Amino acid sequence: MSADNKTDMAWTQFDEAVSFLGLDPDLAEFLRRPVREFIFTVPVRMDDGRTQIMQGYRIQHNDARGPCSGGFRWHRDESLTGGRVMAAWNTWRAALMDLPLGGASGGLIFDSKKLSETEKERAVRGWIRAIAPELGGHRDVVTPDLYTTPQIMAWMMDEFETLTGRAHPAVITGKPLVLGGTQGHNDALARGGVLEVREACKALNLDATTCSYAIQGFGQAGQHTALLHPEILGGGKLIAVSDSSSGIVCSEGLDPKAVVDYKRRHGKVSGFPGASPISNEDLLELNVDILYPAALEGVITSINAEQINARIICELATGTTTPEADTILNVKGVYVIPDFLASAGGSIVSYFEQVQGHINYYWLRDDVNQRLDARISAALQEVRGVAQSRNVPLRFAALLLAISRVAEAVRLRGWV
Amino acid sequence: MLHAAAKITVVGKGPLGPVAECLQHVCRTLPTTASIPDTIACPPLCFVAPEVLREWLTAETSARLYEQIQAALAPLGARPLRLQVCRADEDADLGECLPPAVFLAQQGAPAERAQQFLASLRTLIPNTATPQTLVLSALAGHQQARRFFPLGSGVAYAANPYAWSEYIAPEAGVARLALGLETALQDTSGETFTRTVALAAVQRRPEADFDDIAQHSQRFATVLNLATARVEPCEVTDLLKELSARQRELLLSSGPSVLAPVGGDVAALTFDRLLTRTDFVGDLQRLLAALSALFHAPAEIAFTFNVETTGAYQFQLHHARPMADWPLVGNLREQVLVGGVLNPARQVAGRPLPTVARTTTIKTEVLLEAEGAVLGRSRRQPLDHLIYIPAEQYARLPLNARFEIARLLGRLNRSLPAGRWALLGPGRWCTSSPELGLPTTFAEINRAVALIEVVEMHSGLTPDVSRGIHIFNELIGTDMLYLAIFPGNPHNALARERLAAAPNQLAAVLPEAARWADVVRLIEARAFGGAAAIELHADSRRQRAIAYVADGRGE
Repeated sequence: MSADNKTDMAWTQFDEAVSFLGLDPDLAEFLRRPVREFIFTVPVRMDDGRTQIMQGYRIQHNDARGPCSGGFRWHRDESLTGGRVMAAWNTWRAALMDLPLGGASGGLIFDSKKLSETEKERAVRGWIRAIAPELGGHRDVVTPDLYTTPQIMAWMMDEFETLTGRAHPAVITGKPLVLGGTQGHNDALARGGVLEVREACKALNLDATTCSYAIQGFGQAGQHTALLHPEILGGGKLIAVSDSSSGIVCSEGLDPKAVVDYKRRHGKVSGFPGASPISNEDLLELNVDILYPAALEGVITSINAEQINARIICELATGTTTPEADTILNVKGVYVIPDFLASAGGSIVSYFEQVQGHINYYWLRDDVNQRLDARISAALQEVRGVAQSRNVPLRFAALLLAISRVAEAVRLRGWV
Repeated sequence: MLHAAAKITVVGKGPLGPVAECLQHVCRTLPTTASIPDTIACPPLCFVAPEVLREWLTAETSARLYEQIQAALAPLGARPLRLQVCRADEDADLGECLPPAVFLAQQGAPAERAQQFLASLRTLIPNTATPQTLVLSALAGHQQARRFFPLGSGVAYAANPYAWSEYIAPEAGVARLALGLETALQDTSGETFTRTVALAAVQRRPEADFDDIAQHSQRFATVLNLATARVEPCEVTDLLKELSARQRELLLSSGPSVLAPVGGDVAALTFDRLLTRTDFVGDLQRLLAALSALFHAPAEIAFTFNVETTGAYQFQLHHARPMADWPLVGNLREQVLVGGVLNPARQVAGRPLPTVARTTTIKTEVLLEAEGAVLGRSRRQPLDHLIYIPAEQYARLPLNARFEIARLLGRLNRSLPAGRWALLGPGRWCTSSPELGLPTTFAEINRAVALIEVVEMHSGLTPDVSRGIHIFNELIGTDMLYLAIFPGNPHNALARERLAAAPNQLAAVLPEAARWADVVRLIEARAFGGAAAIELHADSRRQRAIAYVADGRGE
């Protein structure tokens, strides 16, 4: 393996899972390939009157379990290899959470930061016009991804409804509340992770109310986690947090709400009254019960894995632990909730938005949170079951469960 | 439109130097310039000639000295002052960076003010052997209890050195705005963000969404405390509370946040309505155009502005000169112009400005040359170290190892002294996609003075050049130069073999990182023999840069 990009790494994991499951080679080959790919041209009128020609794409990886669902993102990689991997992972994630969905991904190959708001609007409306026949609440649902705001999702829905002449709130998720968005979207990712930590504490017989926790990364996921952890677990002591520039630590405990308020006011956590500074690296090695890496990829490596003292690691950010470090943590007996599982809350609530759009009835926040809790708890229980019965780590068990579910659907349909 | 003539006084005799003379000329000319709108004014100004300033800084205090100062300050009134020093010697160059302006509160009776002034002057202004002129200008502003501040301060350039998109015309200019005193604009710690606005593309922003805008908005301003006579920081939210609803409306924006734990909209200081619903930007453009015509070169200015409770605004021009520029023209390997901006044909007040057109013939090695993507003010930057990541070594690494390299760079960033070193390596830096470049955070590279992306990875992948757009606010907030080398393109080159052959100091600085020595090369300038530094020249106007081994000649 050249190991030169994420595609290699993702398909290596897939191959290992397929081999472990003993899947038929033809079935494995089918699961590896997207069922459909669309590449199209989107001309966008710029503010100065010029026309920028952009390339759009949509990759529908697999729809055996239900309509495809996946993000729209602004992309810089013209090869689409990353998009194919993302579409496949969306298939596995939906299957892992037992959602009746397949996986997709798509977007425009252009740096959105070069566009004004009006140009962004024209670009995403153009993207919808080009791919609209292949979208739909029962065909392919577009979800938010990097740099796609609720406003962008609203423009997309409006364009789709203008083209079709009907209301179609289920075709786009991540919409503003007033346009058929769902309650609970903002904190879904963090809530999912904290719910899984609650289940992990039960499995390890830890008294969650007295556990200490630290958060690396204080963006959306990190801030929500700080607030939700004591709410969901009934207590806990926040020892340290860090953002992109620096961190703070206080062994007596930090008030999560005060730290979040401080961050919003000052744009950083450093300088928080009563706390001492700590580097991002040192935070990872703190003697805490629960560690939430919520910012960067590759922060737990072979260099620092031995020094990790947490009993539970909840990977809210993608790819926080390198494979070498993962092996070390497993040997140490650290309970690692893999990113694939820990970050599933957003996908589940996105599915809830689609469902509410279909029935045109919108749930209260408590309804959304309870349903999310039920889904997360059930998924984690099933993954733990596979991990125990197959004697594999949670990360690999999650992938086994997901791929086997999609494979079963393909077989039942008689496709392979 | 004719304006009231600016009150200008000069204390002492002798040449004031090109910077002061430029401003003096501008303030005499502007009131008679038809294209200048009446929203723009020159404040009362006092130029203190070098000999007098030296006396103020060094002479024993005496009644005569205080009387002289009191007389000099009288035309400025009892208003707080902005103080700017600039060189007045024959070699003075308009292109040089000026020391940051400082500010004085003036409280009490005239005699008391003179005493306070002298005491503060001697604390704030260093006495140098080089003749220097002091420019005093009176500040207009708001007073909230003991706080005094102009509502906003700004700098503007007629040629935009920060054009991050091909849809931004550099010749349309750019402004940077801050609430309160201009100290926020001078801060290069990376802790303070200000509003950067391309004057012909006000709606175009480098941020991805409103959360990004809010994260990169100004949080702290500086004000003058009239009670203590000191400049002090205060939270922007505190200052805004005291403003009228109309003033806040012009300065603040709100937008949807997915970050805010409570959901809903968040507010940020953007100046958006001031920029889009008034003629503020048009007035700035007219001013820059008039000054550029006067200088026969792109102008740069420093100004303050105030907005009345009704929404009417007024500019005060405190500083104006041709833009700091380090022109790189022709075949860079033969000649680098190391002088400043001056064109011999340029004249101010009917006489030619002094010209500094020294040249250096590069007799030693050129290490890199770049054309096409230079972001940041033009400069001449000596470097003691280069951190070089060869693409061919980096591209062979598996993704996991690339993260380890990123963290290693973070440790190097903390180990090296800030400034005088640059980063040079493949693909996009600070990317979340390690297959496209270096997955560092900006905090892991923030002590470098320059970031040089080499637009290559391996034969199967040529990453898209970032132009620094994803770290735009951080680059400006630290005054870090960004440039990209496009291997194979004309005027783009990298001396790979020479860089690869230079001794690597990595293990000496970080012994635990020795195993990565083939990927991360920490190169000392001295390694190239005989020279104290590598010289990096960047010309953002012409989008060119060159780095070479300084040979100490031609200076």
